[in-house]
Amino acid sequence: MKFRCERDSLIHVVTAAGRATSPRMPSSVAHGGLRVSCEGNRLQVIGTDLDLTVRVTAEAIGITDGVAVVPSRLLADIVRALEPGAVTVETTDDSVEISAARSRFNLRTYPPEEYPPLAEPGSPTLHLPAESLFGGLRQVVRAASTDDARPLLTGVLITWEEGRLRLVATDSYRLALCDVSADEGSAGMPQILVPARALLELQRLLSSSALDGGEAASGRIGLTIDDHDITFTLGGVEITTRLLDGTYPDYRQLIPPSYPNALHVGKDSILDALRRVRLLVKDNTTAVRLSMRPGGVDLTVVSHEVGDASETVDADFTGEDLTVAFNPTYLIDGIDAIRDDEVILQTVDSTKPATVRAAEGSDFQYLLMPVRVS
Amino acid sequence: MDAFFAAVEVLDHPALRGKPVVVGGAGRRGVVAACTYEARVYGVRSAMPSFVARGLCPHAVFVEGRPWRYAEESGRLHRILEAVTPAVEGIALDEAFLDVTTARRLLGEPVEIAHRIRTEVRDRLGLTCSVGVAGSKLVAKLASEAAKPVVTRAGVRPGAGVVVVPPGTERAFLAELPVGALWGVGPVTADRLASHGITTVGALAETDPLIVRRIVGATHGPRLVELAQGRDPRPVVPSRPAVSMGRETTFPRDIARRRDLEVALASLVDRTVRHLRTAGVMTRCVTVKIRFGDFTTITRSRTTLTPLDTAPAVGAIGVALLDTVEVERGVRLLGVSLTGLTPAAAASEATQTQPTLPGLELAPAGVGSGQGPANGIDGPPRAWGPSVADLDGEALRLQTAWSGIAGSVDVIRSRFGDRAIGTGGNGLRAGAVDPEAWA
Repeated sequence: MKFRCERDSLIHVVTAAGRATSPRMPSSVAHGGLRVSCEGNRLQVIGTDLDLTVRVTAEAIGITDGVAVVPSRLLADIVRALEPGAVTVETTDDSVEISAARSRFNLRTYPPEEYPPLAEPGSPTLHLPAESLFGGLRQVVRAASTDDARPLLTGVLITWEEGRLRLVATDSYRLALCDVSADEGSAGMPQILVPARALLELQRLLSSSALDGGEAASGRIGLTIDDHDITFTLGGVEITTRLLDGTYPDYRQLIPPSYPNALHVGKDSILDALRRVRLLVKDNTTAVRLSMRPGGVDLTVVSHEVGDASETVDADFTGEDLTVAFNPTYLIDGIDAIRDDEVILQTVDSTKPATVRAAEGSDFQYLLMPVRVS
Repeated sequence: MDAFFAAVEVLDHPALRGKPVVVGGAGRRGVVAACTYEARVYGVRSAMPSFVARGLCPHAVFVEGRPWRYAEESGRLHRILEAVTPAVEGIALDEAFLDVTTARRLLGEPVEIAHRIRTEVRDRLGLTCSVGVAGSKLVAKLASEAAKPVVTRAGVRPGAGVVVVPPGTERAFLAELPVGALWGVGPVTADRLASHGITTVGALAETDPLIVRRIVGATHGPRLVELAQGRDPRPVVPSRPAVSMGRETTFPRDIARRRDLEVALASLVDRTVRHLRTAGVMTRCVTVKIRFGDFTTITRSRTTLTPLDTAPAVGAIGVALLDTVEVERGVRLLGVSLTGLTPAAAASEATQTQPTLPGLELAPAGVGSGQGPANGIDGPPRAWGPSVADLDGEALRLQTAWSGIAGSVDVIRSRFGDRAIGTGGNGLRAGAVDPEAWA
């Protein structure tokens, strides 16, 4: 194999695919290597940890077709360090030579036949506007669990309802739910549970291409859903992840039917105040108390080791005066996810789930459980 | 300690017993580092130039100091003190403050603890010490000096050994002492006070703080009056605050049976949390250390939301950690270490729990997560133990259930021995208790 391409496009393909590998535990060829192949003028780089697979395709000047499996971390480090300009990659039997300007690296490669066989994903069966999916992911993925002992909750539930796509994530302490617009053709699609880790990669990809002003920001994402995996296709990148299997908790029954109390408050003012008082929270076990009354809300953090902090924020409050305690990080996560200048915090009492939502629109809800303070 | 360096010399050289012994100053220009009470009868004092000491007591035995020996005995002393409470603030090789607030439940009233320390020091080190018991560091220190052997021209009289200054009597105790006895009052300050007619602590205590302020300055004045009145709010600051507590054990032969390891773990946890409780702290992070037969060593740790100090709660976390490890190849060493230590008082005030959304609770630990492994996910085998939330809930439940009992268990053990009482599976057996102990 021999090809030549611009350093910057090589950086893009190698880092995007490299994120699926886990070079820190190179227990197999797949974990530590990137499969680089060239066919005509089409360069493809694949990284996988067998759960998550990222395929990136780019244009290159192909000279000889072929394939090589190259150490992932090292390749990325080298390519990033090269001088801008053209890079030539050429393989011999068991090594690959990377040269640019007056630099030359010769790396040992892994035998390509030891690379795990990966099925090519089929063509997308469904397309979604990239921007709305990106917005939805940004709001929801944060609520997913990172505790591997609760595998189902490390996923984001994707369901289709009435021409809209619904994303749901919970770590059992808070739950985020968001509806984004979808194509008509999505009716009757099965609900699926996608590992949050894959969606984080998708988000990263979407945000980097939005920065580039590339097609992705305004483009559409293709979805290929099989029995056991899903592939997201955007531009030259395909992200394939295994689906989680199991029955997701019935999130609908978690949402209280009505809330007697509602606090209308400016998003930035409450967010800034929360971030200030949170400075006293060192170990993420100290709660912030919200004392809500007509005209405002008082935020208090009391840490026995550090000290205390309080702040008052002007707000409209309807309902009975009430004090509720929350994990400040969970509350900040929820408010930060709102895309509106004004947020509503709806409460029942100090022990029942509360909801954060935008003042306008009901596309997004963030349910969180108060902290019990004894 | 009483005449510490000199006493160690006497201990090592029994022929010196009963003789005036001066440590240091063997050379021409030295100063006296320490001297026995027998030498003090002649007026010899610490920090005195040695030629003066020779003049006062020409027949004294002058020996060269052996600092390493004193450090050795000091280490043994500190081990005795730290067995009483980890709240030990060492201020010299032979001097320390102990805050026995949390040790009282286990060891009895402070005066009993004081006698116990004296007995232990005598039996285990062969040395004598004097203990002052009071509500503040200042008064305790002065009380310990009052407990020392008394030197008169006629000879040495044994001291009280233990002097207790009960709360409320501090001023009376201090009143007759010279102002120089107070910390921060050196010869210059003492002279200045004396020029205003203030020579005793009692007189100082009754002087208007504003006047004292004018005599000794704005920085020390107000504090000095407070000290003179017996008010010294400074807490005992442990010299090395414990950052972790742990125990480990090496098995006579490698153990591969999980049940045996769990029993061993329970016993380690049991001993460690007892230390925790004596120290008046709680843990928020449990670490299990495992060394296999081939000496590869791994640790597994878990941080809990709620602070713990009972064996069943810590043990539940420990067993869950052990569950995540394959032990078939045989375990050589097992250890448990508790970190994230917080004072129990602060911990109990800040009980905040983050409940799950109703309906998302998990089954209790031991029943399994109720969700099982996600099918279709290959990869390395994982232990599908209870989740963090589960385990936390279970630990909190056990902690709450046992917190009231643990103290009583400690008291029973301190009286009847460690094997007198414990939870099942701790290797207890009937008849482990000496029936005589019940008498």
